[in-house]
Amino acid sequence: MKNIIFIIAALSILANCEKNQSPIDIPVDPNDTIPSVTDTPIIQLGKGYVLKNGVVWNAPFEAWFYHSDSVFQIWVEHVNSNLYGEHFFLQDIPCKKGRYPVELRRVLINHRNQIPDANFAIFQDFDQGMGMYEIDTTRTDHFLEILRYDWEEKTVEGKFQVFLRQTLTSPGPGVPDYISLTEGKFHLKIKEP
Amino acid sequence: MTEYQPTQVQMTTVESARYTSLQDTAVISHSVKIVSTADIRTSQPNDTIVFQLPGRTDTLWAEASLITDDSLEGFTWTGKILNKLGYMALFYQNGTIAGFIQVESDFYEIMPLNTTYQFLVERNNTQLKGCGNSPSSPPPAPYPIDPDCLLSNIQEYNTCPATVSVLLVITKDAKNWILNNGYGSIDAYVQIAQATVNLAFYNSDIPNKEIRIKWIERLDIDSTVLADPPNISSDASNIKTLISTDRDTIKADVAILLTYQEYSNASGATLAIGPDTDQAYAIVEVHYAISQYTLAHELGHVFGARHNWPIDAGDDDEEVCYHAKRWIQTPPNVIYDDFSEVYDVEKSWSTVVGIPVSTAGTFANLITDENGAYFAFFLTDGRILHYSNPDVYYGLAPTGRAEGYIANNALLLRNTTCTVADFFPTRELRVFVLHDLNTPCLTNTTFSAIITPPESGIAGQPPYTVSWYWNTNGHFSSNNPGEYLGQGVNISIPEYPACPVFWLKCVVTSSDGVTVSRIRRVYIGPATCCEETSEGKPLSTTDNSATNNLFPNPVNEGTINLMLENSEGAKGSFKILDIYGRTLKDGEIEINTDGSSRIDVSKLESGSYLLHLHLISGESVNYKFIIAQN
Repeated sequence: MKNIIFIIAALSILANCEKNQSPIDIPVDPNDTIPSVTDTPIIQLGKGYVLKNGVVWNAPFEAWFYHSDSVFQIWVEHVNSNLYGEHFFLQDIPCKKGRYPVELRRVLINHRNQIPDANFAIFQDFDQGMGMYEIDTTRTDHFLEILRYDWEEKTVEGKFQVFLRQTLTSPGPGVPDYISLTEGKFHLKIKEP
Repeated sequence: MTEYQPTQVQMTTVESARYTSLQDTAVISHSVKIVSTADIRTSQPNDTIVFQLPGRTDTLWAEASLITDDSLEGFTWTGKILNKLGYMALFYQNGTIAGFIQVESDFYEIMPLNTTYQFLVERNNTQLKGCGNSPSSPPPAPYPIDPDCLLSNIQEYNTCPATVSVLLVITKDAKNWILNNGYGSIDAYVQIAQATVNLAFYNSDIPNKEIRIKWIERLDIDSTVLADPPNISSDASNIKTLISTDRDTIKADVAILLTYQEYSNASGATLAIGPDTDQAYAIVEVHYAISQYTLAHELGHVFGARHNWPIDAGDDDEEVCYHAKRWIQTPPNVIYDDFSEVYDVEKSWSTVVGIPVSTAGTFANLITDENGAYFAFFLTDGRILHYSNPDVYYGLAPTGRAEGYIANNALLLRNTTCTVADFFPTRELRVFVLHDLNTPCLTNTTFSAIITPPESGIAGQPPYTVSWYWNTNGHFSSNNPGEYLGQGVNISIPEYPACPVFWLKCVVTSSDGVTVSRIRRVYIGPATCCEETSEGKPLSTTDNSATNNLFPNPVNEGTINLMLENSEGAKGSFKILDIYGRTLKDGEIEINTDGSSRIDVSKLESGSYLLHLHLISGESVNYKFIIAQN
């Protein structure tokens, strides 16, 4: 009888997890995340893709380890010929398969808690801030999902979606108040700084 | 300035390590020499000093612009190089001497080694951090700029007094650079960095404005907190989160994170273009704050100043008038609008808030002037210590532009510095010396000490004693305190001691013993102002404008030559006085029939002197001259 109650309880917990999309999945052993040869990458190695406010953002994706071989960061940056630059930073990403929330970046407070955080910035000539964006904390649908992590090749595949709001009281002319980064996906080799 | 070989200087292990470290930074330094600079100012206690830099063949003479002497912050002398294009600052405190000297495109930093010696570090400023860009097509016709510069409540010549408190938050690596590679003293570094901005205000005719830097260490902000690999966009976007608490605690108007990250594409960044109290944050790289005027550059953005127009080899086409300005030496034999050739621009400069162009032929910049357009490589590109101002010249070129693509940072900064200074109430004792700049020849002018008391609990509490002194050279010391004028917050000077320039010192002493001095150079007006005092009495004149009447100047062969028009055949007497007013030589003089005369000065040592001529006819005239070498 005790066994039956335990099984029912366990099934109930699992069902609840499935329904509510637990904010942090149980980490998976990295050795289990090596993709099989039959897996099809979601995008070509070295590439990323994302819609910025609904439009394809043609910006290169880079991934870097961050003072550890268990945490990495993704930078998406594009600077045009007039040195107008847009910079997206996804940081504190565990090198483990799983679906994670994306939280507000508060640097010293949470920059190493292995919960991804994100921010977005627009600079002119690299030194004049035009727009600074942080995670919209009124929303709960930000996520970053690591689909595959190759421990030996240091490659990672994943998807993401974040929504960011302007924080400057006097932003530069023409910059948006809000940035939605949707349908994001990447397949990158993580580099050592 | 005397150079010493390392073998002549007994360095401690720490000092020797600094010397080695400085030499290792070859990327940013041309050379590192060991010198003693004590004699630069103290042996020539004057508003004009004459010196040579080791490694240079020319003699430099410089005239003081701003002098501050605080019991809290030490003594700072800032000035302008007279016989070349350039500026300098020297800082003295408890035997520590630091400074910088810019001579055209050459930049030197004086870093204290110990109380006897300094390092003279020549920077490699051929290519500044960050590369500007110009568009690939000619810019459009000049914008129809709003004469009010699209800025509400702007005043054309706002003389509002402003002390902007700037907090430098020093990261772990920046501190290590200052102590191990750079100045060896954070206080010395901070005072010189502060001097660059205040001298830029002075040079740019932005009156009654200054910054005061306070600093704290944040050793927890290290390479594990900042972006790795270094990324200035990432760090700048996080800056408010990192240091806003420090700013609120210190109550600074502006907070700047001082880093040593070696960012690849910039030496600093601002959170946003101001003025806005929520956005008054910036990052500055510690090793470029002084040598490339990055602190003055980023603060310019905090005050609202913009980069240079595309027509100035920049990329900022925001339709406002407070842009920086670049001067470009037009290549010889340039053929306009023929884009088959790329020309070399040998000399150029930009004002402080300008962005550097790509040099060394990385890519060609499209240059457009009133004659047309051409493509050019810049061989060098450096900043000058000016905010753009059409009415102020550097050499023969104006540092700003009044029409078309207007470039006038000074107009903006005269207004917005006062806005920024009010972000937080002043906490420390502040003193300003003001007078009415609009009074012709400063007749009947009252000088006033504007004193802002500190918060309770901070040294410098009222009541205050305010004492006034003057002299003709700007050098005040315990042995030479100057001539006492009187006490009180306001002082009137009925008869000026020298014309057209004299120096005024205001000493404010608080009830608890804090002394703050402000020494300012007072320019009375053009030569016509020197003809009579307000009471109608003849005023001693110093005719600096008619430099052709005395030559060569500086004197270098033991004789000065005079050429006096309308005095042919006249007789009279002369005196040569040093800067203390002591007569070193006198005698009779006879003007030849062609108006010429000569005076032997071969016995006088290098320095600045005053020649006083008094002719029997009653005419009297003074000439200031310099002896460079005898």
